[in-house]
Amino acid sequence: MRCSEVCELLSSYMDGMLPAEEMKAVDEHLSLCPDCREELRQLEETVAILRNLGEVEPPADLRDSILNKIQASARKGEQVVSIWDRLKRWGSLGGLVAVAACLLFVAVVVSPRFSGFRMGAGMSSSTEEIAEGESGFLAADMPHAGQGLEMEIFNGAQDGALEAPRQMLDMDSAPEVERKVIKRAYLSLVVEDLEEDFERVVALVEEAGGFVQSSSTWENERQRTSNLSVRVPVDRFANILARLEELGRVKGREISGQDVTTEYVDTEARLRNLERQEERFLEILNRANTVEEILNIERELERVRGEIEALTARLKSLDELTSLSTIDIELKQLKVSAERIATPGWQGVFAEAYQAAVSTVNSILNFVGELIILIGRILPFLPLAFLAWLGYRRYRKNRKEAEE
Amino acid sequence: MVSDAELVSLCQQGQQAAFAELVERYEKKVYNLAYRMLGNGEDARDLVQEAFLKVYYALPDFRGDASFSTWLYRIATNLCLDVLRRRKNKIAFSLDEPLETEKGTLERQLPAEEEGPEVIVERRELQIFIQELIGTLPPEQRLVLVMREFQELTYEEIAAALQCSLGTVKSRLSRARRALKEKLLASGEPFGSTLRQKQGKGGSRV
Repeated sequence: MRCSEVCELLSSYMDGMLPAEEMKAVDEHLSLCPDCREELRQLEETVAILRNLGEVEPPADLRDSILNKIQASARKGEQVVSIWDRLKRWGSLGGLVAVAACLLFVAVVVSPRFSGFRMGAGMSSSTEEIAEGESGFLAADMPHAGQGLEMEIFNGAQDGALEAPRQMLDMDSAPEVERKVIKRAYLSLVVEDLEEDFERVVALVEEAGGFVQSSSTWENERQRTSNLSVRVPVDRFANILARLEELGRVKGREISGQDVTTEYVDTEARLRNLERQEERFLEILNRANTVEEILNIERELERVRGEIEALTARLKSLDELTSLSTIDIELKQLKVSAERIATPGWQGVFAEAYQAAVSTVNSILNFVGELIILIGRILPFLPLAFLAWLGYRRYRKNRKEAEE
Repeated sequence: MVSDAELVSLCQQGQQAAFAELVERYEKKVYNLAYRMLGNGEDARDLVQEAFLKVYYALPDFRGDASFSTWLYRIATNLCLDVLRRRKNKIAFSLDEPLETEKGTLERQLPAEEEGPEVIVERRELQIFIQELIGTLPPEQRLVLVMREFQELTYEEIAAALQCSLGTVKSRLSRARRALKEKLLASGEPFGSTLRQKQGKGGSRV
């Protein structure tokens, strides 16, 4: 071990703060080297001088002045915060602000531009295509229909997409304890032979114990249409719907269920109350003496009985609505297709190719334009970034100095 | 005796008396630290006040991850370094700042305190002189030296208070001690002579 190394270690050696090996090495070196021994002695002497200085007595009133200050500031109800603290707090706040600014930057500048790029770069991909691709499955709550209303709308022509609602129906028909649900369905079918299928619908409904509430048929130059409104027992609802769908190509379907259990229960309760009232009035009527009394009571009885009738009718109607579900069916027969085999001429191909080239060039130009706009958007941030960088460098420098 | 931690939790419950007790326990230590770091009683006094105010208002958030004393030292040392940093940026300095004191000023001050026996005078002279030397050390080294030699903290305690590694404490302390030793040797009578006198006995120094 060289003297310079040993001198570096002497301070820690004095305090016994070296690892055992180094302690031993320094010991050995000291026993051989008078210079380092002298160095050690001088260091020890220095430390001794320092320690001999002893403690300085703080001013006698220091403690009281501290406590007084605290009490004074507590009375004022405000925190004594040094400017340095405030700065530090602002510093962390500044960090937050910086992060927020970055996010804002991304949100404002980058994302809309990006989507712009995508639209631009994606060429003029026809929107109709996209619209067609999305087989319109929609599950939405109808705002007016109250609780527990489900509704699906199907515009898709693919049969595969229609599997899901069937499962829904199965779930609906699962045993629900005394729930009163008004089920409605709307079905739009394209059929081959309107008359024949119309008859089939009627047969199907009647066979299930239902009936046709109303029907209408009309025709224009392109198609013939029949509308039927049928009522079927609720337990056959899903089954009949499925069989109706087999009649033709499903163009649209809508199923809704309105849970009226609460209304039903409420109505029943009110009805019971009114019936009890009726009984009371009848009792009083028996005890009535004067004509005036009798007339008064009978007026009341009349009112109560009127209400009872209304409520009973409502219950009956609810019973009927829930026991028989309604299916509105639209049957459409398209008139003989006027489609012919169309052969695209070469002229059309070149025209399309030209169009494609033009749209590509437009897209590229558009992209470049967007790029320039993006740069424009970033530009104002540069001075800020520069300032932040300066601050960071300064911070690093301070840290370095502090380390030394 | 009630532990610091208990006093802290009493403070957190709003017991002013507990805080007074904490102040009593640590004011001398903090004052000495500040005095050695800043070199004069006036600044030390201000610093102790600021440190305890800070502690008082930060106390509700104090979780006890470190001991109270370590935390207090951390606050006090940071304040010291702040003061020194600010002082560095300012050209103005207080007259009784030993760092800037000239020899003449020193001697002129001494006769005023002549009442005591000579030993005390010498001692005061030594105090001022050493303090002057300490003041010439870079703040970070000064801090470690003061904490070690005057506060008599362990290396671990110093590292905890300064939030640095043991190695940093060791190297800073080593540099501080050696620098101070050299300054003492380089200084005139009588302080340097104490070292040099024995040097004769111990052997020649290259």
